[in-house]
Amino acid sequence: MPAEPIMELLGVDKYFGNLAAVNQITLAFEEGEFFTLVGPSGSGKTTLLRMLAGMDKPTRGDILLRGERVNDRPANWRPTCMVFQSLALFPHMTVGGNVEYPLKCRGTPPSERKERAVRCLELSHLPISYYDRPVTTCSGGERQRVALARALAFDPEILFFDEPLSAIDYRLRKTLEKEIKDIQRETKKTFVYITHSLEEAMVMSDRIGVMRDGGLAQIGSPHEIYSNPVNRFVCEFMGEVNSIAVTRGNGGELWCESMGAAITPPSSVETSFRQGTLMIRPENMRLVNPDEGRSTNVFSGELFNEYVLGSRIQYQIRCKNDTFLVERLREAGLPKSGDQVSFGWNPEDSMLFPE
Amino acid sequence: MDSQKSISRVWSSLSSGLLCSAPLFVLLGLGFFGPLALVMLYSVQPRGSFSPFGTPTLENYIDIIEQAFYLSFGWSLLLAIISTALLLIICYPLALALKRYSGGMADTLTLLVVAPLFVAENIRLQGWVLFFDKAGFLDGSLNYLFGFGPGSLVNNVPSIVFGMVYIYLPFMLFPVLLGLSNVPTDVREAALDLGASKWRIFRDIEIPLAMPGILIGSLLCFVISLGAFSEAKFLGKGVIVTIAQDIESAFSYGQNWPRGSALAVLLIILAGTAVFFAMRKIDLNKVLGTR
Amino acid sequence: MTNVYRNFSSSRRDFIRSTASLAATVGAAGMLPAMSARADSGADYANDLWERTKAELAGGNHRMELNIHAWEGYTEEPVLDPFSRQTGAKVNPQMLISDPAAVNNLRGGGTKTWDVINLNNAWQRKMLYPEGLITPLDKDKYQPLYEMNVPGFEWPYHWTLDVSGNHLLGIIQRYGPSAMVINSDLISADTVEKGGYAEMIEGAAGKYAILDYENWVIMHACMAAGFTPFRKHTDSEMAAYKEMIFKIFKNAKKVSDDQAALGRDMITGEVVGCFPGSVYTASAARLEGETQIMNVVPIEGPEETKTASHPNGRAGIIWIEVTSLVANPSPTPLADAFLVYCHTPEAAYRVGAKSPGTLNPVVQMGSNDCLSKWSKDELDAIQWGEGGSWLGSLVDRCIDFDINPDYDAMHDMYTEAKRTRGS
Repeated sequence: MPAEPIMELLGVDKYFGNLAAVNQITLAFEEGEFFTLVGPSGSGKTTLLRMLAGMDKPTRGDILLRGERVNDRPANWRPTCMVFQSLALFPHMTVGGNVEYPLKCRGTPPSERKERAVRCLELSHLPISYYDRPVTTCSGGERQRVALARALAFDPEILFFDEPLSAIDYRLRKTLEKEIKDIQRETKKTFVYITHSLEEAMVMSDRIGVMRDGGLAQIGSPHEIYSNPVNRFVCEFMGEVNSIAVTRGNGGELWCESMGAAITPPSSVETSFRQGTLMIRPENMRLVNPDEGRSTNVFSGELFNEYVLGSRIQYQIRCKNDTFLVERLREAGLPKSGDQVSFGWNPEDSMLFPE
Repeated sequence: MDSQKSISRVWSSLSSGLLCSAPLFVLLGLGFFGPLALVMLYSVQPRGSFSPFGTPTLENYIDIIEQAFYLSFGWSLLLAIISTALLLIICYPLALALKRYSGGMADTLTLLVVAPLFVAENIRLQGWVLFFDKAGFLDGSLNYLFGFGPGSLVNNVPSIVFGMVYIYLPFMLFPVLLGLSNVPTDVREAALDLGASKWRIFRDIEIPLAMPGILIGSLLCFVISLGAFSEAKFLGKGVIVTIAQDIESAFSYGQNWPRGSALAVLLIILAGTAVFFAMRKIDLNKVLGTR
Repeated sequence: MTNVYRNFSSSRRDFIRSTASLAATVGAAGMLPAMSARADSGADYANDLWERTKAELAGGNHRMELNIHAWEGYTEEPVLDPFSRQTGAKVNPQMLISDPAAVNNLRGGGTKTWDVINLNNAWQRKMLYPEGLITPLDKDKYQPLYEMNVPGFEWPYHWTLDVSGNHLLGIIQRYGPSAMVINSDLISADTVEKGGYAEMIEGAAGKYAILDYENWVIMHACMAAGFTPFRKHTDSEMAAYKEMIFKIFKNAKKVSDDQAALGRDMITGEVVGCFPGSVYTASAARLEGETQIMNVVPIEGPEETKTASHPNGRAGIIWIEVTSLVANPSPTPLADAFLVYCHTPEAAYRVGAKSPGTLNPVVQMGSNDCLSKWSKDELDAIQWGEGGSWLGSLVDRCIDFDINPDYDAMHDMYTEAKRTRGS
């Protein structure tokens, strides 16, 4: 990854009245990377993106584009382009008219315009025959591609996406996710993508920023964030997880009140806390054969529910007052609902978050 | 057997549809086409006849040509064009402001625009006469304060245009507002983001998308302005005569229904032509959001 | 259409009258100065008759609702409230929009609705009675009431009689002379009366307004052109009329059918006078103390109006209202009682002086009991003058208005003149 950031945010705030929609964000996008901002709705993603695109101004802080402050530069003077959640296509124009619009604004001659529009349509997998179609006659997926082609025709240095796939059905969304990623690789442009869907973020991104309450909770590669979340929020946001409230004894051992049992913590653990939460992802839980003779972090409970997740299966196991999720590959000879089972986890697969 | 059944089903659904729409057809027939046909019939009756079923004649139309009625038609047309154009220029920014400042401010503005509609048109116009007349509110106040005033500002064509713009403002404002609601904020932002200047956005995005509302408003104002007469009567004070005044005179003092009807027919043709050309450009489905 | 009734209220002073009656009127109105109020046998009779009528009503079993179709003035509280109070009747007034509309209303079944109809003179004699839409009054009962009337309206008064002269068709009350109205501070009344219509149309070109009651404009244009409107006209007269009506519009500063607005314009000096105009055009302003606003009638009339008793002829036109009983299939005695009530000095005074926006003389002012109810200002508002001499002199310079057989053609020229005045 090149060292020079294409865009930088330095302590950016955005207030609506007294409400901080974006709060003290400092962040840099590297040239050519696919960066995804994820977070629950209301976490400030769209507000942040609008400031980056130039549709809103920050209340405080600076936005730098290749080192130059662009806080006050309006959207039509920035070399960036956005694909809107609603797509915001021009309903009174044809597909071609939509795609050529940025070129028209720039004064590109008509022949050149069309040539470039056709190339962008190809890039976003739209048949050239769509060029003369009214955009209102296109299906949902085709409109996505028109919006993408229009943004590409602009030839921006950074492309912003504001949850463009949220209204698309699952299968088409999967296809388009891959296509967007492919286009990014092919064009080597910087993509900044917003989504509340973790899956989308994981599939497409080089780096992910997790947002919470207007701030950035963690930045890192998908793998980093998934396996080493910095806090309980990130951990929970990145996927299903089993959490156990624990207390730390004087000798450093963990005690789980609800299960009335001692728990072995992961080896690298802070020592200065009394209470915390231990978190284990379902795929790191295992069903234990009682004959194995292992005793560390092994409990027994009643298997009361099972969900088939394609090639995998997820169990819900009730142990005292807690319910655990255990996931594993589907194969023959697995226990069924109603069975008493033993389950456990490798202490190194667990994450401990002090309160 | 099967086909027979389906035919009877089609027929029964058809007839129930006809049955349901029958009241509408009757209403349209009686309330719209009936009077229209009556006016047409009267317009070809000889002068002074009070029955629509005499021997047809074109004398009313010939009289209309011979008696300089083109002047009234001309003034009505000119006033309608001028006031429609002014209404567009005034209402477009007003509608934009209303749309932008939704909430308290917009509600107040809307109320201000709508409230006068609850007062009779002529009373409002009389109010303006009292405002603009010699020794009226304006002239009187200025005279009192500064020792000189503009005198009478009524009794001229601009005052008629003023009255028309004032009276018909809501008829332009609300269709334009409807038209502008067809311009999504994000579409405008998208254009901006793609490098369009404010002027380009106005020309390429706003105007075309708001066009149905603009056309409907213009059409509405144009057609009702064509039929205006109170403004010319009260504010114009006889400086010109509009065609609606001629029609009124023919039906009342003239006791010449055929003449009035012939004038009305010509006015309907004039308005109808405008409607025809404008409607060719409007996709009603688009306006009503059923696209 | 706030102005619609004002606008149409002129058409009540509308056409139709037999030319034969012209000579009769001219003769009857001949004795000019004798317009002072008389000893009050008429008023006493009116009061007695009203008391008797009320007593009769009190015993009767009849419909207690009275439906009146009338011009403004008869439809207002000052006139109707005392009647309701004294008889217990519920009065439903509806203001007239135009004479022809009211006639058509009666023809179309309105006789079932209305009990009393108040219209301009000629309609009763020419249409309503021959068509059986109104019923005659008791001649003997009403004749003594004529004792109250000012000179010129003595019994037998032909406008209230049918053609045969045997049946009484209604009562008379409001009347007025019509010619022009001026602001005498800006243009001399004497000059206008001596100079005639030309003094306004040409002498005050660009400074006068047209009071646009269309048929009245046409009638006075005829008088200004030198002939009466109420007969068939020669081609050269039609040409003279056309020239005159175009000139009248060309020279006018403004055209309006809002006489209140024109009253204001005369007061502010926006215009010096209006053509045409009647006492009712000036009376509201005069009551406000603007007595420089006044109705004037030229002294010299068209050749054909010159008679031995009127060597100068007559240049103005006079109108009078007649109130009749509708031939309602289920009549109420309240209708007849209302006509009696209108003759009581107080009611007659209210009809004349308490109508909104305009004051008009009533014929019952010949009775001292009625006349004495008028304040000095009110009398001055209707240009009464010493012993009624001013109004009398104006009326004396007027012919009765009647049908204009060339009205259609003249109205065409009128509208064309109006259209082309600006170009």
